[in-house]
Amino acid sequence: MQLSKINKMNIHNMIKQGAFYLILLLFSASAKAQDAKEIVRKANDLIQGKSNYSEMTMTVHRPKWDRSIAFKSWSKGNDYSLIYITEPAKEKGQVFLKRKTEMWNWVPSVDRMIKIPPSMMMQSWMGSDVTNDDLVKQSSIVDDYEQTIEGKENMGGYECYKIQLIPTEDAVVVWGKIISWISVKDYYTMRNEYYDEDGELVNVETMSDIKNFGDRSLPSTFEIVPVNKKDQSTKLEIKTIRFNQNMDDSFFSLQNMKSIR
Amino acid sequence: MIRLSRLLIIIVWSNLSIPSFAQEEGSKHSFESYISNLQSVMIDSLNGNWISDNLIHNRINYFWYPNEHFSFSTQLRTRLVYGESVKYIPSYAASFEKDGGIMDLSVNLLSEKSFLLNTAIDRIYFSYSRGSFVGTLGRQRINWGLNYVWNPNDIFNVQNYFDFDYVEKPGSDAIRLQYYTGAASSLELAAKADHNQNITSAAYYRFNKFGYDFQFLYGLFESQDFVFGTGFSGHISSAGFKGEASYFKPIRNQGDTASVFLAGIGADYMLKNSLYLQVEGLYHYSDKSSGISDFYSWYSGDLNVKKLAFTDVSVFANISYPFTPLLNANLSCMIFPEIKGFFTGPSVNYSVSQNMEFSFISQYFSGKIPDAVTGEKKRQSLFMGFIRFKLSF
Repeated sequence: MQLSKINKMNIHNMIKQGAFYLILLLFSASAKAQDAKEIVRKANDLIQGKSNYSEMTMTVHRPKWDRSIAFKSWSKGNDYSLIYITEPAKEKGQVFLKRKTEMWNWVPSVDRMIKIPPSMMMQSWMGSDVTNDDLVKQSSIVDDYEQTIEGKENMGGYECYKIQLIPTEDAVVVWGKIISWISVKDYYTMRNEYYDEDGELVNVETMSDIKNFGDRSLPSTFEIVPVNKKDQSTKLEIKTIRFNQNMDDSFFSLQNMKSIR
Repeated sequence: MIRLSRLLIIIVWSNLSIPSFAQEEGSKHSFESYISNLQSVMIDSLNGNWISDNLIHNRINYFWYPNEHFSFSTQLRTRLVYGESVKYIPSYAASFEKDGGIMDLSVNLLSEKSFLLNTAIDRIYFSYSRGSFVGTLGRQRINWGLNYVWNPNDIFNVQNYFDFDYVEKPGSDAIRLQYYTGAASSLELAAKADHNQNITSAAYYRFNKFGYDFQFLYGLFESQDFVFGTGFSGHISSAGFKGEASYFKPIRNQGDTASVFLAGIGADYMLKNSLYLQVEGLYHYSDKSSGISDFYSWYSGDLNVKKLAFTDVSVFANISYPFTPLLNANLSCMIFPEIKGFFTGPSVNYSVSQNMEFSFISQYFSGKIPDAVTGEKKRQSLFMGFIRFKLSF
């Protein structure tokens, strides 16, 4: 499966790079790798905080149609997340809860609580380029990847570190590689390139519209463009975001799924 | 009762028509609504009478949140139906006006030879919450079901899988007390009364362990039976896996009471390409005959959890695939070995615009059913075709 492919790729790379290079890496790059992880951590903390509450719109654009969904989201680290759908009208009031590895869906019109199996998590809404897994942040860009700085480049008007992320051996992630551009001064993530297990570029994510959201400024628009699909994109816009709200783990409960709005 | 229901409906309508209640951010009032047009045809034999009908269906859900502890909701369902069923089925208008609850909140505003206008309140409840406690009083839906098609644990208001145009189902006139003992566990007490003043009441406990949700319930069903039920929901690898079982035991042995045992189990799985597969099976035991005399009366009659199945074994399978993100096709099948019968229901759903969808739905039943008079087993078939436009706002 995908995991074994990643392992094979790593082993293959290691052999190719040779033992000497590996030893060199161990000695010289360990401090650097730490820096890269730290940068990614800071960029991730900037957008996630310890916890956050946000209101977002996601628009799926295809050559002949557009559909959008709006939701409110409460999240705490990678373990807890609650999403309340506010649009479209047909889906309004539906709630998704994630607690560690478990997920539930509350459908108020039929008073029904549905436990969602993992295979459904990879589902995307309306064929969007974002899966449920992305929305509830199943994998961590900090802990599930090895980061290395590849240099500095200007991106969207900001001087950025160019950082390569390779999944760790035991990480269950979708991507084979991510290249991330993170601004040097403010740790804004300005661009991400997502590569599959064969090293082919799949999606390009571009961030823009830096806005002040109270305690910090952030890019407020994220646009994901699949490279091989013409005139397709998925755009996420942050309407409101508040960080480090006092959220107890017990906030992410079946009771709150039913009362949140 | 009729008077009361008319008055209530007028109050609800007049509330709904106040424009200043339009929903705003952080508003204390909230609305949801849809309107649909359903064209249907029912055929029992190709050369027989085709019965075609048209149903315009509006639903308005209103919610009021006066403060953090209280909430109120009322939900109004209005249907305009015209066609051959209204003309030729003698009790059709009466069946629309019939309200299964202790309150009579369904009114035929107009009932003529060829058409019928009915409005009904199927939810009207107050809810109070404080800390881990939630109490709800009034007409509400209490749904303890876990499976997709057959829900032996849904003792208050069992869903009819075939009634796709009314997923909300009528509410129960009930009181429900919920106490959340943890993030994914709760203890509940619920009691309802129906129009025959039969009582259904039960205690229910759900909890989460080993990555599964488990539940148990025990109580009284329609003043006639003790009911014990249990269910689980979780996953094996990445496929969903769930099941439910209930046992109904008559309190007193009378001529028309029967011990009934129902157990269902199901699994679902979604492939990476979004192909979705589902299977479910239901076992039904009754110490009294529970057969049907024809598909239509079973289909259109009141469904009661004890009569969830009409054969000892029922098997369901469903496959669904989005050919494009806008166009979803679905094929569901059921097999009823005891009557050498089956159901098949191909359907297509198309998202016309952000809030409008078009559906083509067909349902075909076939099976060997004993004749009501002679008892002779004869194959009966029933086909129904539906075209629906639905606009949500």
